[in-house]
Parts: sequence; structure tokens; C-alpha cells
Amino acid sequence: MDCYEFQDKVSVYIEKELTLSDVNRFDTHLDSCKGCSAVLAGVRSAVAAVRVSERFAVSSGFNNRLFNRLKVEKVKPVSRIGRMGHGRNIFGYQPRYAFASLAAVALIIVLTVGILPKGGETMPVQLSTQQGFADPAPKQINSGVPLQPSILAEDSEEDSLETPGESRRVKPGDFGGKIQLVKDKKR
Amino acid sequence: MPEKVQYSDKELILRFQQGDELAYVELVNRYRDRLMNFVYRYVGTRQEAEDIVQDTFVKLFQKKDYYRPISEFSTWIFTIASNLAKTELRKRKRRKVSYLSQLGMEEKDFDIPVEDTTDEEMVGEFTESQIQNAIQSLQLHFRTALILRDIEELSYEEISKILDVPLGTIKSRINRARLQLQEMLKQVHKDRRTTI
Ligand SMILES: [Zn+2]
Repeated sequence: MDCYEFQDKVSVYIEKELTLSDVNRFDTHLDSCKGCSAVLAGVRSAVAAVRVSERFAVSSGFNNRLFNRLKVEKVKPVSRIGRMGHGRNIFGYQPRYAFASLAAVALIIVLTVGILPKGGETMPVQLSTQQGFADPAPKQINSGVPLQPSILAEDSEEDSLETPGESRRVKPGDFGGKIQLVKDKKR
Repeated sequence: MPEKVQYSDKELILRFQQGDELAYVELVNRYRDRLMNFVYRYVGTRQEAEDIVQDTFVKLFQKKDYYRPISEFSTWIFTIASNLAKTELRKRKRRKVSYLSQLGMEEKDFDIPVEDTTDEEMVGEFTESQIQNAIQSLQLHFRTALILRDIEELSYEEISKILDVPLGTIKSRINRARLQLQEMLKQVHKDRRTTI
């Protein structure tokens, strides 16, 4: 073993990750080389000094600033599953709101024009259903959604945090049922 | 969460994924100083380091669902912090190049300032400022690997993942960082002897 190899593996030696035969080769070299013995002692001392050296810590009030930022910026979790079900990515709304709103708008147009598309049939206008517009569809769909307790203490339902469980439940295929719910309500 | 129950990091992140925000708070408490100590070695100023640590926890909040229990939570959170710190350094480098080119000067590495430690308390055979100066004098890729190993006591495998560098390279970097540190501190000893 030469000095280069010894110093190249001095950390492995210190961390006792050498095979027994390698340890013997290292020890033999150490016995005959003052330079490497000094390097070994120096590295051990340096590592020990680093281990007990001062750590830099965050300043006081860090948590408050962080939680305040999460609240002020209304930071929401981003789901890796069912991404369609998250965020304001459809017309600036969450998909469930967007689809429900679209359904309500479609129904208004349909009822105003007097054509309700159902299996290619033309439906007659039913004036009595128009009273239903006073009660916006999205609100009805989402009423009863429980707000989860939050360290961020969000004010509104739309700003509440979503758990992955909730987000996974919202899939593109789910919207059909909700649109149907709006239709059922109106009729 | 009931008090005095010591949850592992993995248990905490899984609880947070299920909506337990107190688990998030506990993770913040566990990791804020460790991340600060690491990120500070990258960027060299407390304010920037703290901003990056805050950004890291915002990402944790936003992307909790991306964590998979196949990896250590520490690896995951340190990777986020490391990437944010690298991005900050790249931005800084661009700003510097643009500033220096306006002045017609050539690019030179940023000196990371070591805070003046007037308190000369001895840590073993060296003063705190001597150790910090020596650490900060290391090149960035040596310094970050050394901090993760000798201060954070992470495994070589974890460090390799966090810094996105092959395992063999990490082992070599840590060894070389220690050898350089040993050289610098040896010099401190020599200087001390000549001044006495
Ligand atoms: Zn030798």
C-alpha cells in the first residue's frame, strides 16, 4: 500500500467499512508511515470538530411566519393522483365547481331557448322549473361538505384544505353524476 | 395527536397525508434547524437560507402527496431543500454575471461570508470560528456532502440521492473534504505555534 491509496481510503478506514484484509494492510502501512499516521489523526480530529461545531438555526417566529404565509397565500396541497380534481385549473375554479356551474348555465340556456337535449328529443319548456334558478346549483352540490379542522383556520369553504382522500374522490368520471344531480333538482 | 407519543418521520408524513396538520407542525419543528444548517452552507446568508427553508416547508405542505414511504422522509425533505438552494445559487450567478458584465469585470466565485464570531470558545482544539471558516473554505460540492455526512449523519446512500450524485463520487467527495479540512486545521495549529 502506498500513501496515495491510504489517504484515498482514509474515510473508509475511519468508518470501519474495510474488509479485514484491507484493515491489516492499512495498519501495516500506518506502522511504517508517520505522514499517514498524522493525516489519520488530523482527519479524525477534523471530523470530531465538525460534529460538535455550531449549528445554524432558524430565527424565532419562524413557525408563525410560515403558517401565516400558508394562510395568506392560500397554499393548497397538489395531488399527484387525479390532478383534474385539484386546483383552479378549469376557468379558475375547481373542476367540481366548474362543471356544476357549466351545468347550471347550460340549463339556463336550455330552458330559456326551450330545448332540452335528451336522447335527441326536443323537450317543452317547463316554466315552473325556472324558480330553481334562485338557488345556484354549485352551492347545493357542495353544501354539507365538512370543513376539516385547520391550523390555517381558513374562512371559506372554497379555501379549505383538501386532503388527498377528498381529492382522490374527485375524478373526471364523477362529474357526470353531479351534473345529473343539478338536472334532477331543476326538474 | 396524543401527547408524548414519539412518532417516526414516516408516521408523521403519513398522518399529514391523511389530513393531520399537527403532524405537519411536528415535521416543521423537527427539520427547520437541520435544514437551516444545511441550506446556510449553500447560500451563506441567514435571510436567504431562512427563505429557502420556508419555501421547502411550503412545498412539503403543497406536495405531501408526492412522498412515498419507500424512501426516507429525511432524504425527501433534504432533496427539496437542496434543489431550492441550487436554484437560488443559479439565479444569483446569473445576476452576478449580468452585474459584472455591466461593470466590465470578469466573473469570480462568490465568497460566502462567515459570520464574525467574536466569542472564541474552544471546540476541542480549535475555536468555533476556525472550524466554521475551514468548512466554508471548502468548495460547495465538498462542503454540502461533508455537512450531510458529519453534521446530519446521513448515510452515503441518502446523500447520493439528495445531491443527485453517484455513490462513489459522494464517498470520494466526503473523503477529500475531510482531507482538505484536516490540512486547513493543521495550518491553524502551525500558525498558533508560530504566534506563541
Ligand atoms: Zn503513507
